[in-house]
Amino acid sequence: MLDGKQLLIRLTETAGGSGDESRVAGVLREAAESLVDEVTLDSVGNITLITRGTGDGPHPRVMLTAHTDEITLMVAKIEKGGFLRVAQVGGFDSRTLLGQEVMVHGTSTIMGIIGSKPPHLSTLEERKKTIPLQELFIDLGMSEQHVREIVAVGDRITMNRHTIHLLGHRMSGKAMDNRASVTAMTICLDELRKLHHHADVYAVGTMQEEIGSKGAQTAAFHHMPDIAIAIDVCHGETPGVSSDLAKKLGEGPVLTLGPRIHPKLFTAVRDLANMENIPLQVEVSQGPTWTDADPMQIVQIGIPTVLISIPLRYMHTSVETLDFEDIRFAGILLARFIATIDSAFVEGLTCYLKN
Amino acid sequence: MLLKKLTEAFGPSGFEDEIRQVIYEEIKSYGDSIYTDALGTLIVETNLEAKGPKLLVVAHMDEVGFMIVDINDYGLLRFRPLGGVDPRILVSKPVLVGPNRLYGVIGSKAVHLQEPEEREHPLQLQQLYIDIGAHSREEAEKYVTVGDLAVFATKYEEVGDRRAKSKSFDDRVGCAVLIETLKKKFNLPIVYAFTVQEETGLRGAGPVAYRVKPDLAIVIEGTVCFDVVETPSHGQSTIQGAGPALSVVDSKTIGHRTFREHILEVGAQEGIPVQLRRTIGGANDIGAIHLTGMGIVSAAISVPTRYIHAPSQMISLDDFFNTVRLLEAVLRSIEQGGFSI
Amino acid sequence: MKDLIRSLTIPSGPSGYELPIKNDIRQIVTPFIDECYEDILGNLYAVKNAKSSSSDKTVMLVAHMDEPALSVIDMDDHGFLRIAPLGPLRPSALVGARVVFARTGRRGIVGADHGIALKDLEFAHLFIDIGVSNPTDANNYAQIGDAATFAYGFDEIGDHMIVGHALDNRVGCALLIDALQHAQSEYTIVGVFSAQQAVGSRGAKVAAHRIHPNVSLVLDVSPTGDTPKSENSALELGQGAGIKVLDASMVVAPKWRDSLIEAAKTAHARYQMDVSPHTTSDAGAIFLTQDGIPTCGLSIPARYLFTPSQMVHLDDVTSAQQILSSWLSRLG
Repeated sequence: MLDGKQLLIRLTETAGGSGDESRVAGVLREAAESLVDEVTLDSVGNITLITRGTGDGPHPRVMLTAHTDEITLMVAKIEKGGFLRVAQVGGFDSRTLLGQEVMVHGTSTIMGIIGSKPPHLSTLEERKKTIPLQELFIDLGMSEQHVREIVAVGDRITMNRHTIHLLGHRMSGKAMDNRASVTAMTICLDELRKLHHHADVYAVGTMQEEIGSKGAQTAAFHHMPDIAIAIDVCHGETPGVSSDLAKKLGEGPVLTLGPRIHPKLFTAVRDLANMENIPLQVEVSQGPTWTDADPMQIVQIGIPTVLISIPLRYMHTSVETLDFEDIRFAGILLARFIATIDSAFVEGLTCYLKN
Repeated sequence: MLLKKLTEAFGPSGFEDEIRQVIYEEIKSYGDSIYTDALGTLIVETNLEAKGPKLLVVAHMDEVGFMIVDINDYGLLRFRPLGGVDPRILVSKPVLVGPNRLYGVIGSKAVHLQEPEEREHPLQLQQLYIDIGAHSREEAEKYVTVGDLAVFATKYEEVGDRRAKSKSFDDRVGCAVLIETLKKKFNLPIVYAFTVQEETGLRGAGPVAYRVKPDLAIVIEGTVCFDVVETPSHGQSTIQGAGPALSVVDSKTIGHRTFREHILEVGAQEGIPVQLRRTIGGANDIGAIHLTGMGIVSAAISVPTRYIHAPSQMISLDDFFNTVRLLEAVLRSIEQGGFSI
Repeated sequence: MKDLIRSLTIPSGPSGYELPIKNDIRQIVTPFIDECYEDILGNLYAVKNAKSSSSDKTVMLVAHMDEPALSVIDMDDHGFLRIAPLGPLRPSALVGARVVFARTGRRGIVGADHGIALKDLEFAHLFIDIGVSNPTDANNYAQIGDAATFAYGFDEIGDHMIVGHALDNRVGCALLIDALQHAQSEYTIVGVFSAQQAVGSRGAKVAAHRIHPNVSLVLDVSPTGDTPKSENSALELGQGAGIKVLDASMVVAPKWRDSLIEAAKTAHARYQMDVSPHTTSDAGAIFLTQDGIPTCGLSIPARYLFTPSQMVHLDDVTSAQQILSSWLSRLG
């Protein structure tokens, strides 16, 4: 029996920045290996879990993606006194980093603090200004010599954060973006075992999404599926944010409508959720979705693509907060959708003309 | 009237159903094979067994439009653009909304009700809304769903000295050039493609180029033209009435020199006026096509279009006819072996 | 090596019209390679077969040969040329600059409309003066679409520093030429002198699609953090070649980054880790090609990029040379 919450905790507490996803892929592999027929790793860092469909004739090929990387910092320079200057790998808001505990992954993993000036020493004017990333530093509490023995330029820095349970099914931690989707994808694979599905499923943990959706593009080229499904997070509702830009937590996964999404896939997923009484919210988009869906849609001769998201508050911080029920429903919805896919449906996806 | 039919059809980026069907009805008795791809691009194959270089000729059928993203308690619709629009041009323009093509107007607070300070600033997108005449959210929801699309309600009309105006010469004028051309016979393998989603990032053209793998590609566009009062020569890009414009360099492509020079030569031989596009700003489907596979020799020929991405765009009908002539002349020259890669 | 770099910094190579530099490189490499060809984007390919004919593995080494340039978009009644940038040039760094047109060799000076403060300067305010007084004469030397690059040449400062307007990336080209001449590898080496890098790695994209190698290595410059009030970069001139950890376009896989570290250690060559989150290179475009191509990079630390006076330390070039040679011989 797959324990989704436990898996989410393990995934989020594992360090895996863009380009360094192997540990996260390892956790995914351990959790999902027994659920699928085959696991493959490619030469650039994607992991693919393959479940074959049943039935005669050519099987439709469905690819799922959930990116495995998280945003991190990186050691850019070791200053006099052993303080570290940092570079971004993905986009933190530098305002959320002040006073944050971090883990620096050198020859051993050590804890550091992103230092802040105490209010006693800062002027009122200073406190009105945000501190740019360039001026942040990490204090490891060690001599420069000791620091240099353990840490080198190019080492990764992740947030030090244990994932916690809030009220009900709400959970909070770092890297919920996008380990929430990795979890949903695993739940989907687990659900698929209970269903008859004609389609062969390629569930890919993709690399380097946070610096521009790299892995999904190369994996889509490799597998060239008939249908691509990206799973990612979207903004959760917070006060003062326009209703089209953020969705409610706990009211189901989010389906995107927009130019990057195949119209028939949108309709099919929406109608299925209605029929099966699975809660679903709709998000509208007018161009880029900033997810794996964007590059996949135009790989080779083009791939019909759809995007399912988990609403998430405080994106790109160390306290990303979500409702686990949204993850569970996303997994179930995806599995049931995949079970409906047959060759006729796939053929219909390139027919846009009436008569 | 082809230009009228094409420019008044509805088809924001990613939602090209109506314009695609309009084009299909025009061309369905031509070509050897007509089909759509995964993104919805309409592809017409002609004479693929003929000898000579394989050509891909492209015009995008999508237009800049709007998506309804929220309905407020007054029954007013909040919207966001699909494609690049300057918000300053939006206020007080009629639009067509949703599958029923309802009229709406883009409104904002009346100027009388604005503080003097407010009047100094251009209106922001969040200060604008579409009013379809609904009394309440409930009434509006009967007609409109979040995610519905809207376009400017501008009619096609001929104006001035052989000019015409419409909402979408970018790039329905290119679609018209393709339709006129594919009705002619060429002893060349030519694939015509009416692409989707050019306005949201040159999305449709790459997959077509990957599928067709042409030796040569030509894009027909409606391009920037600002040959108006007080604009210096280097701010104009093109001159209306001076003939089709060839792209040299834009933000996504450094044009293929030899192919461009060939087209200029063909224009000169045939007595067709041709100009060079004199700006680096903007881009067209060539940006995606020329980098496909191992690279594709390409050119872009454009009809100068004033007030591009605005409610009333203007072209010269002479430029349109000369673009049709130029494209035919270029294809004939290739047919006769006048250009090799 | 210094003489090779000097000779490579003279020919012009604007993005999209790399012909002058390409012709020179082609002439230099032809004697010691097995095959040489070009493509329609303007890339130059130089192939050196693997030591043993049984090997079917390929490594692609890439150094872009183009440089940022000024493209002519219009010409006025007095023969002044209006321009737009190809690549990351700043208007304020161009006023008074001496430039040369790649196609015709005509020299010119960048001028600016009168009365514009330096900080408000845009490309629309700039023009090139090629010393003519009417458009007919101007047309003989520069037409719409022609491009001009800096025309400053090469200098030495002290015993170790070299300065030039195109060290980015003729230093990389020199290293690639050197590798093609001397390297021994179990892999077939395809050297790509790539075109159109400054406008977004367009050449590298189609080159990677054509070659689809087992692994690729990019040779380029990276900015240092060793000048007053510079960025937070640990790169310093003279401290060794940079081994790419990441740039704005990709993150190098630990396996391939470490293979360069091992190569450096074997060769007893000095190296630094190159973390350049704001620098673009051909690596990202190559990495993304088809089903993905493992890609790594060696960087030459450089000061004052995108100005006419880029500065590089010769010892860093030597380190890069040693690391590259060691890395190529260890492939297999």
